[in-house]
Amino acid sequence: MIPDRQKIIAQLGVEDDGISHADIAWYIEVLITAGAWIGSIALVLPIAALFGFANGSEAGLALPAILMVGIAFFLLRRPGGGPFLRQFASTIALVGEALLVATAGSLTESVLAAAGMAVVLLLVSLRFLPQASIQFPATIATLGLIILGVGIEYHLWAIDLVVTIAVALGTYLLISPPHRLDLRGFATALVFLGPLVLSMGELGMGSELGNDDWHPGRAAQIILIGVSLWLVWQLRFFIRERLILILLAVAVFVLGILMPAGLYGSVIFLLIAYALGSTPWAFVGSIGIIYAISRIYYNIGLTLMIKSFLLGGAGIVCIALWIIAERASRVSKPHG
Amino acid sequence: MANEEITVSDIHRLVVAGKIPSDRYLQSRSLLRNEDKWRQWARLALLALGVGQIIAAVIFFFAFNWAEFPDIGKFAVVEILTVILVGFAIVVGFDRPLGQAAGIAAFVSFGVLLAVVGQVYQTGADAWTLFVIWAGLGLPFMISLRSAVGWLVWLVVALLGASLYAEQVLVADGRMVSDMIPILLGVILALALGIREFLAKKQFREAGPFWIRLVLLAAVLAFWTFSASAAIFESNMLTLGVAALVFIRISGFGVVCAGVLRLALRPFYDMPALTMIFLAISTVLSLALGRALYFVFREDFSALFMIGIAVMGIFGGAAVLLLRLSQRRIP
Repeated sequence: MIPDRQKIIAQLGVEDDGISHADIAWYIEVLITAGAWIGSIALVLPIAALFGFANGSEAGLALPAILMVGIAFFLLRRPGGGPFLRQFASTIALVGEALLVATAGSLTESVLAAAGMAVVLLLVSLRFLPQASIQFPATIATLGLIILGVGIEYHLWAIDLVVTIAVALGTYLLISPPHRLDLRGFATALVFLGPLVLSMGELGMGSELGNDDWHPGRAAQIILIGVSLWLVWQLRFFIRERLILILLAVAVFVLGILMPAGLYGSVIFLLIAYALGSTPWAFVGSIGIIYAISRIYYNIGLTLMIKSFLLGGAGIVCIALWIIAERASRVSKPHG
Repeated sequence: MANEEITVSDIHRLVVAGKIPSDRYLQSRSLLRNEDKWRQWARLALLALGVGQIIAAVIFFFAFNWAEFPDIGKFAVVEILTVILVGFAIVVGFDRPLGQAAGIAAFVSFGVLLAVVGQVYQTGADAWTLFVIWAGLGLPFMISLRSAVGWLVWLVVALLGASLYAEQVLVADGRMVSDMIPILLGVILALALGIREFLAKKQFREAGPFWIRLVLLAAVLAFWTFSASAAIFESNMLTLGVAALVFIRISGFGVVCAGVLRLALRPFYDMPALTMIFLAISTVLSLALGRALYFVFREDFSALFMIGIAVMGIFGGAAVLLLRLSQRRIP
């Protein structure tokens, strides 16, 4: 089904500017991206290495790095240019930014200084370069550095806290995008990293069943549950039946308590997929769940028996909600 | 004149431009979505999540108690599960997706039973026997199931059997070199793709949906690309045996690419298949050129620089060709 532009524009009550997004099939984008990335890295690295070696110090890398970022800005900010050139410029920008971060890190010998430089460059990119191909990897790398810095300086629970705050911010930006800035790549990366990191950390009320002490990591768990409940609230535009919405909220809350954080993060993916009507999010969420369940098996913090009860309990909640949703759909069909 | 279509990217752009308030973004996107389809997806996701977690819980439960289980209990658990799944598949019907899913699960469960036999009796047999017996005994069941996905699962088991047999018997006895294993698997996969296309042409149910073709094509190309890439980096190419093997791998890659290209161009342009083929050809070409340039320039910076230009040229050319083909889908 191809949505009728004029009809939708009229329903939205906005003025049509006539610009249409030219979609290229994602698999062709993958080929273009792979070629542009491999090619530009092979082109750029010898130049960067040459400057570094010629100067004899790390600071020598700063010059080609700034040059690369400058060229990328020029190529990306000018109108026109095909997808291959766009990916080429994005790669140059990323390599340049990575070199600047590495220079800052090696000069100060501090991970936090490198993370600080990465944050500054990320903010500049977010403001001036809307390309998701820059925002996504730059955000992942920056968050990775912050996690590393926080992990070294503080405790593991701080990582959980940083990551869940990132998930919350990313979810908000995906569901309610801001004016003037296209932050889809940034927001996607913030949410994307959540389950991957959380499934490795010590977060999850389930993993602390035997521990009665207040654990700061639980604050992170509460943030995640809050994010899910907010997402359920956003679904009111699509799910008109109040009872289903309330039951979904209850189920999401119970799952938040039962499920380890990595698995619960993938449930957030599925909620985002439903809210946005996005097949890629649904696909990644499904893969994330399989990955998280396999990770849980190898978690040495819990016995297999407790893991079995937690997963079984969460499974029963899902099945119960499925039965209710099936009944509701059967009841609504004859009237609909 | 505005384009007649509207996409979610257009909606997002209108929000960024300030024409639609941020808090109306979801509502605006909802105008483009098929609500029934997403509701059905949500119910399926809930069911899959629930069943998946309960199955994982059952597996974890048995894993916890496995050592304490008597041998007869171990067999009983897996056998009862297999019988239940087969019975369910027969009751529901092999022609329905749920029945086919149960049938496939029964085939997998039968493999687990064979593994339990091996574990309990410590037969000491090589691993290949498990997969070959599994594939062999499961063959009549698969023929009656008539499921394309079932055949895909069966093929994975058969390939594992063939690969392990080659590694543990033929290579160990010196009757085969290990470099031939990807070629063997590549040939089996190419045959499977050929059979699938024949069945699709004759409109047999076993051919399955279109994505089965793409999965098989991806597997064929992956094995032959790996094989040809390894051949490019072979040392001692002047030795007769090595040169012959390099020739077989590279010419085999060429023949496979020509065959699947023909398949992807008729009767219509199959763009996902064409993209995979172009990706495979570009990868092998880039590696071959890279090896040649490295041979000429050695460890000079200019070698890396030239490789960069070559890769960009090859992939850029492939991208331009693909974009042009995608604009005129019908030959």
